[in-house]
Amino acid sequence: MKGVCLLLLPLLCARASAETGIKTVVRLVESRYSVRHHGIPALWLTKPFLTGSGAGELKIEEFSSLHISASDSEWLRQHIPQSLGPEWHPFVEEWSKSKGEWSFIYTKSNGQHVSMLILTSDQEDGLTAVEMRISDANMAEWLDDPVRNAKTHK
Amino acid sequence: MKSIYSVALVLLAASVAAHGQKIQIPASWDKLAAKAQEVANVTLDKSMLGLAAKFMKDDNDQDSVEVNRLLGKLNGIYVRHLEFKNSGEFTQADLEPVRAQLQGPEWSHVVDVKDKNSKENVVIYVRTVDGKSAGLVILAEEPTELTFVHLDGPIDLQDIDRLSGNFGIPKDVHAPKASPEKPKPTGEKP
Repeated sequence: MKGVCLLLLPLLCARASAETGIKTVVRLVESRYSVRHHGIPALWLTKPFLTGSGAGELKIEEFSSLHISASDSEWLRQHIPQSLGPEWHPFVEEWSKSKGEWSFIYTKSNGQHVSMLILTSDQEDGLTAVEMRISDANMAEWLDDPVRNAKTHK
Repeated sequence: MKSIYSVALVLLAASVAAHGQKIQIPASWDKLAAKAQEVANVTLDKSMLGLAAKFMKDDNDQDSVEVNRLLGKLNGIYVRHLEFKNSGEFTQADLEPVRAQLQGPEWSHVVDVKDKNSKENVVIYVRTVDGKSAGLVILAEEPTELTFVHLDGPIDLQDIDRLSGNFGIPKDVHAPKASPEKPKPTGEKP
């Protein structure tokens, strides 16, 4: 039994280290722009509301003092998919030079649930990264009009 | 053992050849995007379409059933939309590399609608492989807007109406009402 556990341990560790998501993106932004992220205090308070809506596992990280213009977001657009790996699929990329806003959205599915990773930046709030599991109804809404949803998400 | 390698090599070559026929967004589109004020890209690959079919399914709604049937057949939906501040910020020469990818024996230029009032020009190209539909591309051009939609997979012109307004495909993109002219190959075999 001990032997089996010892055999499984490296596999589990490898899987855990290979899993990518919001932390991957946060590390990428931190190393590129030499900044530190900060979380949202008392985020756990939102959990009951999210569970009711079918969404869950909400993670939010902010870089409120980091302002990356739409023109300068190209580096991230190129490098984020490489860092996230093949399990995440680019879904929507939209940017507005006139408003100085942009958002990149990626999705991942494990067959039962869909997770969404949203990176959004505007002049007021800086850069925000959100990862969450989304409900079936929300996903249908996103698919109905992905660009409008990406814009209103901000 | 050698024969296994041979079979693998043939399969790999076939896969590369098949992939080579697919539309890729050319680098020139990124150059155009760099000039645009507003840019929107929507990518729904096969796995996302599988999810879309699952989430949008409503057995009581005939439209939803039809859309699901379509999504199940497609390999991908790719939408690229650009908005410019002023007209004249892109030229026909900028679009030439995009059109060049739609030349060849598999591609037919089936619809070309020009509206003189709105100065809108919509061109639809259909890809046919072994006599069967294998995808279509819509290139919609307005003085300050450009939209490129690639529906990859077996799809008929009339199916556009079911998809327009969803998945980032503009609402005003429709199948032609009149019977389209007979498809003409857009280019000769190289």
